[in-house]
Amino acid sequence: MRWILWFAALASLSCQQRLPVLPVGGDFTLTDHNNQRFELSSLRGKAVLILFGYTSCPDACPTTLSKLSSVCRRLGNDAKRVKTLYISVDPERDTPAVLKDDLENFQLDALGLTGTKPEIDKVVGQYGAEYKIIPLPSSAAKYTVAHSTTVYLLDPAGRVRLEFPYEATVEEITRGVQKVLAAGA
Amino acid sequence: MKGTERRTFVWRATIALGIAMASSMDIPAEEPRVIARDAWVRLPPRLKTETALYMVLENHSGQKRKVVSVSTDAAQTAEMHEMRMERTTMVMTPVSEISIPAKGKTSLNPDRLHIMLFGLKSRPAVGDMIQVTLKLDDGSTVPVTAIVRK
Repeated sequence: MRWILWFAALASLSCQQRLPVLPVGGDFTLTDHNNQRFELSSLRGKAVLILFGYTSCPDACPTTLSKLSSVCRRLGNDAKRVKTLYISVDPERDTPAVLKDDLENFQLDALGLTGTKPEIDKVVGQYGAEYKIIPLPSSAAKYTVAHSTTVYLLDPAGRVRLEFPYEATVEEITRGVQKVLAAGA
Repeated sequence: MKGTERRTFVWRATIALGIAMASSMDIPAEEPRVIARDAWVRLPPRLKTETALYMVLENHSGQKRKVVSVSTDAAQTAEMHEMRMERTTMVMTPVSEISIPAKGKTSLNPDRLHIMLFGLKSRPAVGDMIQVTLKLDDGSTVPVTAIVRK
């Protein structure tokens, strides 16, 4: 009986450490903030954090980017094995130069990515994210972009293993990244 | 000086003395009913001329108050905005007022309400101070000094 309990506990622990591969994601090609074509497949061997947003976002995007900066500080040397991709859903305003400038406010190994609207829509669809451009004729903003706030964590093989909601803490994201890095590809 | 004239003189002198004393007395100024604390402005990226302003508004009065407009010399326009989450999606919309409960407070922070400054007239640096004025529904105003930080 004791052996059965021990085996069950061991199996449970093993299941907790093995993260499922989520049915979203996949490779894509966009333009990075240095105006170079970027392929997700070029990051094989690294854990990748992906978020969708736009640089005129005053709250959710800077808050999440600050949070990911804290995650990378907590990771220490392991941060070298992590890349953040900030995919703009506002290609009209977010040129590569604007994206680069925006990311300079954060201590984060991140690439800002943009593209044509069809290119961006394809990636948004692949990851099950969403966004909507909402006109604001009475505001100086002219329009706002409602967008998903989920952060996707990809393993070194490029598969989505975890999705973090906006409320996820630095600790939770850090633990997830460590788990993905420990599991390898 | 006749009796009547003397009484008039004394009466006038008393009134004058009373007015002089009242005007020279150190009457404490009325406490501000709404005050802003911990105001800060997010450092905008170099290529942006817009940013968000946050603070805590405290209402020390027994009446609910509303901020109905914001003005500043630092930007062309200041607007009150609200961020809300709809499932996993963030939606930002302008709002026409921000309520502050009686004897309570309202936080303007990156998770909900904020003031957007559009068309900054100069690029601020970390540590700079930006002045804005809030107008309340009772016609009074609240001066706010916000520090720029990352």
